This record gives sequence, structure tokens and C-alpha cells, in this order.
Amino acid sequence: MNRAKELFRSYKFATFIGLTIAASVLLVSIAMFMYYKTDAYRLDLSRPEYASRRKQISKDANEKSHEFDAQGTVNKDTLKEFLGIYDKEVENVNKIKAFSNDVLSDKELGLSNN
Amino acid sequence: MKKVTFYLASFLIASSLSVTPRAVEAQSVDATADSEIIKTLERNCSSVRVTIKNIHTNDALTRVNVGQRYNSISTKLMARLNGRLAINKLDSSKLVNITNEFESTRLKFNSNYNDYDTAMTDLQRANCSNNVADYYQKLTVAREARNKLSEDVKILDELLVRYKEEVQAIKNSLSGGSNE
Repeated sequence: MNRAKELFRSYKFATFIGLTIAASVLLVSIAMFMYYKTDAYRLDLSRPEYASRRKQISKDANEKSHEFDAQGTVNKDTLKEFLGIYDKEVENVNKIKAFSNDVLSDKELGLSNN
Repeated sequence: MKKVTFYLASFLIASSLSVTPRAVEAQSVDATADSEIIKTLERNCSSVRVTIKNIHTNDALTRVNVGQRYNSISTKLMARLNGRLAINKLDSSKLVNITNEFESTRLKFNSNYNDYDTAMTDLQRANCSNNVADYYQKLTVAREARNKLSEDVKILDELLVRYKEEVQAIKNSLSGGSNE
């Protein structure tokens, strides 16, 4: 223990650097573990392979205009206002046509003519 | 004698268990891998791999975009309207049920996308020039995973329609405001 203290006193800066590196490695390892464990990597479009398509990410999904107020009275006009916002959002979802076309079929991949 | 019979029976059961899955796997590969398709796949291996890579990249983008939209509809519209109706002591039980169904389907969609992503990653890592039958088998798995996703999206879209119909029904039952 005394020997360790002596070494620490003699190489204070080196020990500080070493501990800093060890702490960073530990924290990065925890972060990477969580990144893969929580499946976040599947949705991470900051990866290099998505660089060319990054512009296509829709940014208006978090806009305030798409929110409906949770407080207040409810009458026909309120619900009309709600349906206006709702229809726009649903229309945007329908435009994406997610996973609807059979792009992995033999025909689409050019493996057969039928 | 009894011991010998016991050991023999155990050996037969153990060996049948270890052999059966392989037989089933081999059968499914043979059944799905049509020889003409296999030949074409072998010929167009590199172009198919590029197509698969592009599909995978596009699908990740679609997943993020559509996931954000569904999440936004669920939290910023459905949940808020349900809460507002409840505060005003209006019956929103049907809307709450649809929202719950929507949420559980959305979670299922997320989980099915992870399976699809895994299948597509496996497919991208596989080499169609070395083992074409295995590659085709992986392609079939990816197709099935994508079909599940497509089904989830259909259900979510149906729920969105049902929710709108229910809101319209509540709107029609209310008095006051304009009737448009």
C-alpha cells in the first residue's frame, strides 16, 4: 500500500492520465453495450452508410403544430380541429407506404419473370 | 439386460433428436430453392447483393420516419384527446381501447423490425457465390420477416381509420359548435 502511494506521488501526472484513459474506456464500453443492447444501433442513421440518405429523414414529426392540446373543453369545433390535425398526420404516414411493396420477391430481384 | 435396453433406447432418442432438425432444414432449402432461380442467383450474385444492401438502407430510413409518425400520432394526438375527453367526462372508452391496441401493435412493429433487420444483416453478410442455397434460405427468412412488418403496418393503418370513425361518432353525438 505504501509502495503504491509512493509510486502515485512519484508519477502523479502519469497516474492521472492512466486513470482518465481507464475511466473513458469503461464509460465508452458501457455506452457501446447499451447502444447494442437496446437496439439503438438499428435506428442510428448517423452511421456512414446512411450519409447519402440523411436528407430524407422527416424532421417535421416533432413540430408543435402537430400537437393537440390536452386541456380545455370539448365540443364539435374542438373535434373538428383535432380531425384536421389527425388527417394531416395520417396522410403523411400513408404517403410513406412502409414495407407495402414486395421488393424482396424473386421477380423484383430479377431472379424470375413471374 | 434392462440396462442395455435403457441405454439403447436413450441413444436412439438422442440421435433422432440431433438428426431431425438437420433433415428438416435440408428439406426446406431444397423445397424453396428452385434450380432455375438458384442458377440465376448464382449468375447475378453481385447485383442482387447491391440491391439487398440498398433495400436494407432504405428500410432503416422508412422505419425511422414511419416510427416517428406513429409515435407522434399516439402520444401527441390520441393520448391527448383521450385525456381531454375524460376530463370533460365524455365516454372515450372505445378510443382508449383503440389507442391501447395501436400502442401494442406499434411495439410489435418495433420488435418485428428488429427481427427483419437481423435477417437482412444475415443476408448481407452471406455470400451468394459460395453457398447459393443457404443464401436463398436467408432471403426467404428476410421475406417472411418483411411480410410480418407489412401486416403490422396494415393493422396500424386500420386502427387509425377506426380511431377517426370513432372520433367522428363522438363529434356527431355532441351538441354545440358547427356541424361540418
